[in-house]
Amino acid sequence: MTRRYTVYADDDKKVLEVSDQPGPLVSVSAPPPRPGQAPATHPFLSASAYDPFTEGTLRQILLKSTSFDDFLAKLREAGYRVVGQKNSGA
Amino acid sequence: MSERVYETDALDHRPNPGALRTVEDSKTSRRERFMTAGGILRLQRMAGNASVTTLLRQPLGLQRSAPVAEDASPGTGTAADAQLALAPPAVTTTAPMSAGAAVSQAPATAKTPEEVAGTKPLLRLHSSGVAVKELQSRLNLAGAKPSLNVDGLFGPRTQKAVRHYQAISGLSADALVGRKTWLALGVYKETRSNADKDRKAALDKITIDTVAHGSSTAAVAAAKTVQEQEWLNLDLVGLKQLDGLTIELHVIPHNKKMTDLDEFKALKGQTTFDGRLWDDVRGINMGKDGKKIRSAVGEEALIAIKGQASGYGPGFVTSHETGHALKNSLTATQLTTLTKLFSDRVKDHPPPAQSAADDADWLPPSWYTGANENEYMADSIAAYFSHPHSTAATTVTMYTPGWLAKNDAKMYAFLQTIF
Repeated sequence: MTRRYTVYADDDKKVLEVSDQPGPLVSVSAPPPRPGQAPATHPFLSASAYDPFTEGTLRQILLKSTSFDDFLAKLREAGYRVVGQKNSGA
Repeated sequence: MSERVYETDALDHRPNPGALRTVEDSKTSRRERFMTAGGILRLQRMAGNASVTTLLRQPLGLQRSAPVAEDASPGTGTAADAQLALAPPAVTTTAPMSAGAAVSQAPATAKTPEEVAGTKPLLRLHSSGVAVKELQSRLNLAGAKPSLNVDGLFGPRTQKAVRHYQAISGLSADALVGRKTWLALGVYKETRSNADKDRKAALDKITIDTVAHGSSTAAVAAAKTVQEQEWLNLDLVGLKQLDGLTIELHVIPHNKKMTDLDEFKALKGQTTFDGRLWDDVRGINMGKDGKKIRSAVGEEALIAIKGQASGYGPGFVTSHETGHALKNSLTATQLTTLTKLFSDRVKDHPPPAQSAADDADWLPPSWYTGANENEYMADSIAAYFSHPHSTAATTVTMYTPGWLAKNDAKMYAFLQTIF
């Protein structure tokens, strides 16, 4: 079963939703890709980011991560709250 | 509601009205136009007569608004029902990216005001009850002579008074009190007036700003067109959710970066989660911050700028970002409904995850629309208002209320409860 998590910043603001399925990386704050543009994808997760001011930091953490679980661990180390979503494998 | 256009890079100086310059016309006259538009939209909601709305809007220089398929009752939305309500298919007459572009079609099945508001029973000789009392009262107010006893019994005297009233009102003097007679007696006019009052009160508590930053008047006008379409068509419940909020749409000049603007300079040098430099991104939805909902769109996505074609369909980016912002108008129950809608949709029609290839069940780009409930809602709203992601024929066909009603009836019905 797909594992899904919601990531919150200090102020309990939702900043990321992430699952362990390879797939697209989406910035909800930015406009959709231009027509015909392929998605930015990732080999071990798919995610949607919700806060423009933390997206860059989250991306940096992702780039340093070696696996899905490593990404979650690094997020927690950085002070984010990572919560498994109901009815998912988390 | 107040609605303003600012030509300034320093919104933080507000609320000093003296520091602001209105681009198009006076604040007062714009407000008047807006309220007039709202009145027409409300008339449309009551009347279901989009064609009338279109005609009424033209002299005001305003665009036709929501493609409300009035006959499709919210919540009942089977695909077949909704499709019937939309017949014939929507016709999009989108002018190319210019001010006053994006005029979308009107559903053909129109109801008259009395049909929509028609809660009054058909009365005739020997009818009785509360409605007859109301009829007698209204006939008395209209000058029935002799005055009728308000006893709730439709007898010969009431019949005679009805026949006389119909005759002097230009109606068929058949003594049957149906929609037209009720309308003539002012029943629906009063109902509409009350609804207008509630909406006006709610609208008065919302501020909608368009910030030009030096962008062309045409681009600002195009942005405002979409804003008017979407914010002003909100249901009263949604308007009340926005109580006290200021909604800002910033137009990013084609020759400036978004992060050149004061409101977005904090993003300078930062990247999006998918790896784009914010400086190069041509739009944003900042969500709600305190009492402010802020978003931005590139000028080139609103009007044609030589050498800077955005590639998007007319009005799409504005509609999409406004669609995100509109989430703030949802009640807790509606938010729960949206989450379930998306969850069910994904379960029934798994979106393509890693491909630029589109899927017939999801608005293009499919992988994007299917990525999360926010994009699902924002793109669906763009479709509801006929603002396609691109100008490709298939995409234009899909970004219509007709496609939504047929292919995603639950979302269509949901949007009908919002707008």
